[in-house]
Amino acid sequence: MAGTRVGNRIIGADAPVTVGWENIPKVEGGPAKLAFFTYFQPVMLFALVAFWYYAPNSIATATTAIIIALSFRFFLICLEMVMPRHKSWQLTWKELCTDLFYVSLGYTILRIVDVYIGSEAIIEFIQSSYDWDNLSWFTGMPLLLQALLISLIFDFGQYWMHRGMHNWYPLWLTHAPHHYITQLNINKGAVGNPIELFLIGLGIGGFFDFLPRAALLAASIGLAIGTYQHINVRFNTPMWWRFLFNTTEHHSVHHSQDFQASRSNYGATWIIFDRMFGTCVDGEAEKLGMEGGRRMQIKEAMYFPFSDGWRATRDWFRSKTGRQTGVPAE
Amino acid sequence: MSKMHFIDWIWRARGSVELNPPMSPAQVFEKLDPILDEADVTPNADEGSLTYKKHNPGAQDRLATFSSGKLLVQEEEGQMRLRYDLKSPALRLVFLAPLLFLAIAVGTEILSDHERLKQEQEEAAKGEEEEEEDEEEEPRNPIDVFLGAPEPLTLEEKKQREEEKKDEDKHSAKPAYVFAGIFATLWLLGRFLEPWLVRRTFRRTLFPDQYPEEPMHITARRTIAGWFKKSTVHR
Repeated sequence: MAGTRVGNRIIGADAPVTVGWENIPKVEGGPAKLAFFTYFQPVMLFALVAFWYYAPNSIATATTAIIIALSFRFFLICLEMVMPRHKSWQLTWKELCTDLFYVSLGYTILRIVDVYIGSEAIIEFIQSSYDWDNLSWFTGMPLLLQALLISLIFDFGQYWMHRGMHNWYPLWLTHAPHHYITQLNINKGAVGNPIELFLIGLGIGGFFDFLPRAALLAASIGLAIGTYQHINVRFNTPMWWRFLFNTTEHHSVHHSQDFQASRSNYGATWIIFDRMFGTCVDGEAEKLGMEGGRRMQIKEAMYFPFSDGWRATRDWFRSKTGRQTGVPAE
Repeated sequence: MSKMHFIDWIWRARGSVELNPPMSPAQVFEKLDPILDEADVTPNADEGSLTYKKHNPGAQDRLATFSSGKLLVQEEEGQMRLRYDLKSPALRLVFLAPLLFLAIAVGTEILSDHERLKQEQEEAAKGEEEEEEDEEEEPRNPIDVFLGAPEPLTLEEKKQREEEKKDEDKHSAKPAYVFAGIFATLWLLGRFLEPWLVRRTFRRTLFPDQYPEEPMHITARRTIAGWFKKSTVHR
């Protein structure tokens, strides 16, 4: 496979990747269908921002945020079933069960761990050891600006954590199971080793004690944009959106079976950090996963960081001590 | 009869497909070859049967849910039939998943009780502690005032929220109970949907002209229309 040159890299040499926006298929159909799939994303974004901006204090709570997030996800799952982007990514009963198992770990065991050693513990520590009056310059800013900055700061942290996972082997061990997904579906963001899910939650944005409304606004921006990372629905996404935000197309390139393509598009909500730091590849891919599309089972995803880490350490130790590492007999 | 016969309906699907026009076992298994690729297949020519096992089927594999089983072609009351007896580790695990989440819920409650007790003991040991003085939220920025954003929380509202938060346990078992319910529902859904889908897969693979591929909503509409037609005939 020849691949396409993007900067210094050849994208699509190992597996097919469509580079650029010119050859990306568009949703076709009647005017109502076209309008829905063209305007749904921006309308939802602005509607959610407007809701959190104007909602009275009695409604602007974390419980409302959870209800909205779950309803939005449920709606998108239904949309995936009715209008799949790729038949090869169709959500099956088994895939849904598998995805929800990982989601459930995040809501149960991981949440307990977080209280003791995760983001909640860190937030509590920083809050109790820092004079927050120093941040009044920030909390006095307009709400939308605060929300925008929270979103950007959080995503900046996510970008480097994610990029670190692809470039430093100990972190990669935790992230690798997530890259064994062979299709994108709405809950696939939760698929992976729990250690990775724990690490990715340690975004630096969580360290600040911002005004709740600004935090809820920032979360709604993340919800209305980041949710589309793993979705099996095609939208006629506007070009300004594709320039600013991470899309299904960008994230499919990131999950491609092509090695170089998988080392791109690290952002979660925003794609502008990838554009700034030279890791953005506009385009899309359908063939996803690792090892030619081998599906990693839940059991293996749980022990992979330890088993592969042990194997790599053993091989490194053997190479240092000059011992053979299992060369096959002639 | 298997020892597990009374409970194996949880993860097994048994059924048959009418072979019309009739086909020999060899013809049937040849036609089913595309869905049995990448499987360990053991044919038994004398019995007219075949057993298969897929070790790690792909996400879109049409036998992903039923990863092992036995297929048997035989004549029953003058009619050739493909009988199948399939096993699904996925159905078994999803059936057991609610038990796991109930165990997590119980564990969370125990942990929560322990934390509450610890907190009460700590508070008793410390005695009356001076409460930190809450401060009013920052006033709204003029731009927010102009755009009509609601007033920030008053000190009273803020205190009330903090009190409510204090009363909450450190850990909640509610998500674990919810997921136990979700997985019980998923098992119920899968127990009926998956055997129906696998039967449809066999029929489509054996008789592509009679049962063409079509989107799921069309099949559902046709099936419902069929039921309606039948009930009309009976009347």
